[in-house]
Amino acid sequence: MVPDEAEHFAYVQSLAENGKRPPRGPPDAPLFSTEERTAGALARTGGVLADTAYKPAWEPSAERAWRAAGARGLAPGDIAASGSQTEHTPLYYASEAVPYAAASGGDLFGRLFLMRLWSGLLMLVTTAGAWLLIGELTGKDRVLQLAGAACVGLQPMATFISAGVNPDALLYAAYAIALWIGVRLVRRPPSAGAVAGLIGATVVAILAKPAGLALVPATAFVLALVARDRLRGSRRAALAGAAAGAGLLVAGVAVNRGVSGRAPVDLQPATLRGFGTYLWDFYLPRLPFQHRYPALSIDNPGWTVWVKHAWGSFGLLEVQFPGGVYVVLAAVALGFLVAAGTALAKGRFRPGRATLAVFGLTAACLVAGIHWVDFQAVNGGGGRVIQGRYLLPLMPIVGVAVAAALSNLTRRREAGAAVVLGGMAVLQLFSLAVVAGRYFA
Amino acid sequence: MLVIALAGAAALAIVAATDERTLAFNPGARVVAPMVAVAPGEEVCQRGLEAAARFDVVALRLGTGTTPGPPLAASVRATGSGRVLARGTVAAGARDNREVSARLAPPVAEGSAIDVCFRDAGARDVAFYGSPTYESPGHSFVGSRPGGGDIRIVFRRSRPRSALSLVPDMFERASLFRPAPVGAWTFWALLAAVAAGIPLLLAGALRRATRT
Repeated sequence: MVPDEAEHFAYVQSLAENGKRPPRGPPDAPLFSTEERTAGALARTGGVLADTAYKPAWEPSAERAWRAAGARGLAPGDIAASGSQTEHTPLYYASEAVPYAAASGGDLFGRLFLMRLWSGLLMLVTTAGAWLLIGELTGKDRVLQLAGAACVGLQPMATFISAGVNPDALLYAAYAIALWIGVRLVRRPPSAGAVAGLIGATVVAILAKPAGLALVPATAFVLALVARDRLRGSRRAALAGAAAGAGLLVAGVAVNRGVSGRAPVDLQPATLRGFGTYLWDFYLPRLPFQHRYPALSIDNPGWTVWVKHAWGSFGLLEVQFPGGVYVVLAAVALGFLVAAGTALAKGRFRPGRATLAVFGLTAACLVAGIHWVDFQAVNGGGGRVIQGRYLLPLMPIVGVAVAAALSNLTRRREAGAAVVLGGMAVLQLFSLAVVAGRYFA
Repeated sequence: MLVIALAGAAALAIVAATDERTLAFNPGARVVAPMVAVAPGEEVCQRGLEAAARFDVVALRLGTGTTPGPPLAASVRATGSGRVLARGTVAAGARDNREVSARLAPPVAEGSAIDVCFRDAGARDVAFYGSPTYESPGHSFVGSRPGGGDIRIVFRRSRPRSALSLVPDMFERASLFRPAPVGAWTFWALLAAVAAGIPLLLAGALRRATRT
């Protein structure tokens, strides 16, 4: 079970069965439909999330009890309340309503199974998008392209999330496609199809999750470059710009309702100072005169979130590798980043300044946005809401970095790629073993 | 590349072979709060359980406040007939909300329908941690009186088994609550795909990429 899957399922159930978004549900009333609550109680999935020593139902009698309960779909008068997820825009959930409806003859677990498969297919789109992006930058070097894309397709946390019902799966796919088309547009003569594709992918990202908004500056940058360099003064440029602006505006307005409550834009000097202190405290030891945010003092947030949670913390983050594994993973990642920088500095890998600007804008906006939302929660006295998986839309850029790092190898490039591919395959195998051991042993 | 994948699979097998597990099964209740309390001499039973695997240890958490807990006489009985299948003792001195256990003799076989009972054999009241149940008021009883919820009991083996030897059981367990035709076979197929299929595919792709 991936984070918040029960809530996401409830959203889809409401859309599929009632044709409308689910209610948030009163604070003192149970969430979900009767069917979903019954399934969760008998399969014991809720307890699994709350207790690290707890296991889901293992005994066949639990499954028999579920069949005997006979709960099916959304009964008249029943409500599939989904809590705060109801603020999400319905694009991803509408897409999940298709497998839900396709499996409507079966029970809840049949529908859930097909919905998870659909999310899994989105991971293939993400990987294909990364492969195309890296291919755009490596020319015909298929070895680099394969190694970089494999790092995306076999990233443990991304495959875990995309194996469940979670809009992050669509977000990853939309980011990968948008980055590929955006880079293609700044490196090749533009086409109307590519411009439409970039706008479409950006809109899909925005409608998948508010984190998609972080793509907007990079998309606007690409469109501005296209308009300036290729279509200067033409009517098509004006039309393209207007279409882009309108599309992004509509999407922005649509998601604004969901974002504004959690992360109001407040540029007061005191707020910005607080944000600066928060950022310092997130990454560095707090100085004696700085304000103390309790949520940041329980651990080393930068390490926990960006290394442990981004590489692989499964379940409700409680299923992890031994601590030393993360040290190795972080060291390897750092090594690849340094090698990628070396390749850039020595001209062995030449993506171009515009491409680097697209990557930089996307990464900076996403990280800043994630931190801003987290700061609102922490500053209000609450716990952290930031999670490593929120960084995963940037995986295609990491794939590019891996390809760049390998480009330093002129003679034994294939051997380097083989090490990367083998390492990712082994990491994937261990990740699945850790999860299986947590829930079923 | 295949050498790395093979080495990885071998390493995983070694880790799994040395990862010893004692958990036989747990029947569902969590540690939320003390759900049932008994006085000296009284007995609480968690009824209607299924022995999902052979076990010879039961572990639980007691609510004892600041004083050491009393000894408990543990027994496992056949549901319905009440025939005692195994007995054991929880030693006196349990601390509040810390796991304590009773070794049972003889071991209880898999598949039995059982009631698990604990009698307060000391001189002080004691409470049992657990959680409210979906089927309120749950399956705990003090005599014939229903308890407030389910007692959290964890069933263990005194002889641990390696995670590697548990793989067939794990796949059986994972196949529950899945649509037909998903079964344990699906997870064996997935294991083969991940351990062998993906490395072979990647190796093939790398070979073709190198040629290109």
